[in-house]
Amino acid sequence: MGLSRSRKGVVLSLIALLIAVFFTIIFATDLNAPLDQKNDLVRSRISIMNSFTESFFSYAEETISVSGYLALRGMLIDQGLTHEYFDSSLPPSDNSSLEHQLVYCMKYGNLTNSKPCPGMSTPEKNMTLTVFLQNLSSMAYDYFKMEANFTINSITITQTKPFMVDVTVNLSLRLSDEFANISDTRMLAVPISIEGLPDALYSINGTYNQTIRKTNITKLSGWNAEDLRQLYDLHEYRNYPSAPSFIGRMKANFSASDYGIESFINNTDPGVTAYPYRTNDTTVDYQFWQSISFNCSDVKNLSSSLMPHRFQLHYDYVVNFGITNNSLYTASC
Amino acid sequence: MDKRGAYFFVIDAFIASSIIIICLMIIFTSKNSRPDSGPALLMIEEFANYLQDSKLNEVQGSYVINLSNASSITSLDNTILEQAVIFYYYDSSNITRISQLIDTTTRSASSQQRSMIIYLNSTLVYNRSLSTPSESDLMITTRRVVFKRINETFVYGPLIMEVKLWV
Repeated sequence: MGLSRSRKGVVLSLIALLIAVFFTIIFATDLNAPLDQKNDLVRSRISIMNSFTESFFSYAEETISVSGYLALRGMLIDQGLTHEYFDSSLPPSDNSSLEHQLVYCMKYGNLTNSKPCPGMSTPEKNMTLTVFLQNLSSMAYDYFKMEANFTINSITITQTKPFMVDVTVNLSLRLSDEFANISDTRMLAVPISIEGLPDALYSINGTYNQTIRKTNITKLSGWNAEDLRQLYDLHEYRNYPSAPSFIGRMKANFSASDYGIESFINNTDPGVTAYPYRTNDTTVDYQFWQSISFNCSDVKNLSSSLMPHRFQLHYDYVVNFGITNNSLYTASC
Repeated sequence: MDKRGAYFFVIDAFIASSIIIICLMIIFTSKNSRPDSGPALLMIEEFANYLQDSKLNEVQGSYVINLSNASSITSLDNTILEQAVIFYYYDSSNITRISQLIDTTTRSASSQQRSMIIYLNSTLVYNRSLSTPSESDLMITTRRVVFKRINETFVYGPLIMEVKLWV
């Protein structure tokens, strides 16, 4: 009887210990799944998404600059072919407006539904903003295992500096995987240099083409005859508030602008010398190509010791370039 | 009879204490066998950020200065990663130059006791292996999107930079 109880005691002790061990293992080890077991994973995925988001918008800024520059160049090339300015009276939504064609060029590589934007896309390479961003979006899935969807909400163009235009793109991005998702919308204002682009004024009205090259002379006042000679010889542009802006030149808006730029025509070019000489013309680009003339008594013919033959400027310009010695110029009539 | 009862109680006590000890060993050994990835993960992320954010003029050593003097590096405002991408773009076969750039500019930024390799566009551009990855208990990988504006009309990339670190 006593032995039987001892045996029972051993068995019961074993059972009790086994139950205790079972519960200890269950609760003390990680066999059970805590509610926040995926927190580290989710945190890691969000970190990856944040990093990708920053890369996406940084890449978008660079590609907006590239596709914006190429779109402007394509539009200017087309203007040179059609010899037509953009109509500044059209609203941005009109198919023929500069703003609409810029958007179309940047997004689709076309000026209109049927007309390609010159230089934007070749069979080997498509330089539209849409394709640039699609390339990066596809990498999101291939390398980071997440879906990336973007939307170009709007594209606008403004000018706040003489040799820059600002292309502003409202861009949305949505990233998602099975653990997290992130959405972000940003306005990216990207300055684009106009240097190296054709000047619409020359392409449309001129007898030769000229690309825009900013002068290295940084002065705002105190211009002199040497500066004038450099601008003329190197076909450089300077900022001058009485001149039309870059966008104004595309839209035939030749009114004075704070962001105005101007150059001087090459009056030894055969196309220019073929023009009949007029005493009331000047060699400032927008005045010459637009046939803006002045009273010939206000137009001064600079001395050949300073400038080439028949280089004429309005008297205000003569003063602006500090040519005060009246032996260095004569009235053109 | 009493002796046999005492015998069973002693065995009972031994069995119980054995089970407790074995269970405790299982519990504690199972917890300690998992390598902690936290510090290595932090380190690799910080290293990738360092490559991505540090400008050459902040980290320049004799190697960078020599390349700059030789006009192989045209702007010290480039980050280490941007410069590596430029080298890769202009001459993807000259891996030594990229490797030396990374090596000389990151010596103080990473533990020399850890093995690390860097791929750029799936090309191995940096290798600091102290052991083979198969010998490692823990290997961590991080990736970054990289690109570089080459001129007004061209952006090189996007490419993937992949850093693998193991201990």
